[in-house]
Amino acid sequence: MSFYEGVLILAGIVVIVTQGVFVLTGLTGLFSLGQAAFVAVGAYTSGIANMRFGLGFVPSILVGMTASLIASFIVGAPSLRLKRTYFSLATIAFGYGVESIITVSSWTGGSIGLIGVPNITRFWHVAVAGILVIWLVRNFKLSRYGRACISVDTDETAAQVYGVNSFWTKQIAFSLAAMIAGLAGGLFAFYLGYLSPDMFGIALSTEYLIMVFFGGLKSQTGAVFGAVILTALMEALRTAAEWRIIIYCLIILITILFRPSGVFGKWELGLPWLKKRGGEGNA
Amino acid sequence: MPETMASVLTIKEVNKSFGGLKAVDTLSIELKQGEILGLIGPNGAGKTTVLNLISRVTACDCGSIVLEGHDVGRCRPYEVSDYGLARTFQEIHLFQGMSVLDNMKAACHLSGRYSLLDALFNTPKKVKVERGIEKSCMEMLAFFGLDKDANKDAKSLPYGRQKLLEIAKALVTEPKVLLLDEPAAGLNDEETQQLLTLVKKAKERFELSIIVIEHTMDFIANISDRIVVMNFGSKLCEGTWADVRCNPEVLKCYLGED
Repeated sequence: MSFYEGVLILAGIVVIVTQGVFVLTGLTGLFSLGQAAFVAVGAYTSGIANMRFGLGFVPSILVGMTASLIASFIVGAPSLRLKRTYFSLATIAFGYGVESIITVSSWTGGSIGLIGVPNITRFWHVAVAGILVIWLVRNFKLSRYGRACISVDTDETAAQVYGVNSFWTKQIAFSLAAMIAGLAGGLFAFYLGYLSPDMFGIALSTEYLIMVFFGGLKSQTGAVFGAVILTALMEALRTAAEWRIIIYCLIILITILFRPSGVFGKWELGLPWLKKRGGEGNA
Repeated sequence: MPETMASVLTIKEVNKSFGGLKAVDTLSIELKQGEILGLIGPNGAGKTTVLNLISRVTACDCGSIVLEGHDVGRCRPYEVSDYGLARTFQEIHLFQGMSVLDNMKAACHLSGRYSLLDALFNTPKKVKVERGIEKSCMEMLAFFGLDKDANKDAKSLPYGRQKLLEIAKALVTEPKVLLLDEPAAGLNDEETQQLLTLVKKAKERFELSIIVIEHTMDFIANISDRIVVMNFGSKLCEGTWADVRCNPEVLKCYLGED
């Protein structure tokens, strides 16, 4: 596998995760700082399902996605009823909790990490999964559920008057984002072949958020753009690791100053064409 | 309005306190089928709290609220809409960043239902339901003369048209009971007159029963079949406009003794 294919795979995996972040933060207005932990749950569960139970590539990833889904209900059920700030705090706690469990558990290889996951993921796997996720998220956005997410974000009281169950709407967005993160985690595990607890910290969750902000919080196209550009930039700067975070900070500051709604704002690629075909609005 | 008309909404001995302040005090109101009930009173009389209690935006302390035979007094706010209740707010509550049409579609959350899987996989069922939603939204927008603005950002509309959009949003949910909280506030005379005509027309066309709060007395006098006057959270009196305007208690507390 060439260096460039590796970069494309990593970028594709990040694109997949940020589609979930777009649903959660862009549409629903919820800030999760534990999204990387859902990637970890998906990655470790997929790896363990393959190594310990002999499941194949696809079934292992499906098990990983299911584990992330279950985790989203465990975290979401108590925290999504609280104010948004407390929800964000709960996701931070979840992130640290997952990291601790991975570090102490013998099933996950502890602090040494999970070694020996077969290297199966190829670029076409990520491309197919990425296109599928982008299509699913686009459909979600243009559905009654997507509109419910936006209405809960902008005016929760009014949304409830129109029959939107705000808790379930948030839970659906949170679980969808978690499952997408689980899928990305599974692909990541089978790409790298090695997983360690420090790969999925709060810094990674923050990076996902920054990517979506950079591209345009209200734009699905922006989320893809932000993920591709910033992942490529980070890979290009791999040899100058100490500069990476400074460049990241500069990008955030410049974006906030000159394009507070992100590079794409709420613009969507190809939407007029889709609108003509499907008669769909621009929710 | 004939006395024998069936009740669509019955509020019985409802109470609501905020700390030490009794906002609604043992209030009973009946809304009859096809009636427009005006709810008036001085600022702080508890009118908006009554609408909030009916729509469950605020929970009542005690008493019962029966809507079309269903006790909605213990419902969650999002469940009341299912029983045929829609409302507007005193301040405009449009969904920001959405077009006029998408605001309408967002209000159709319950009337156009399909599963999450249908939504994700864009099944023919979803496409069919979405087309139906769009059709009914466009028809409602046309009724209010807003169809040409369908693709504009809702917040970019002039204030008067945003108010109309709020009512259009409420009506597209196909309610039986509509609660209007100061619909004419901030409108000029021409817009108020247009609103009055549209509300009357909508009542006939969609067979609505309406409770309306308003401070513009001409509007209330022209639109209401019956009026309830509130003061300090209680009902002061009720009757036709002719009855209440001559009531000495009303003149004293609200219209001024002169």
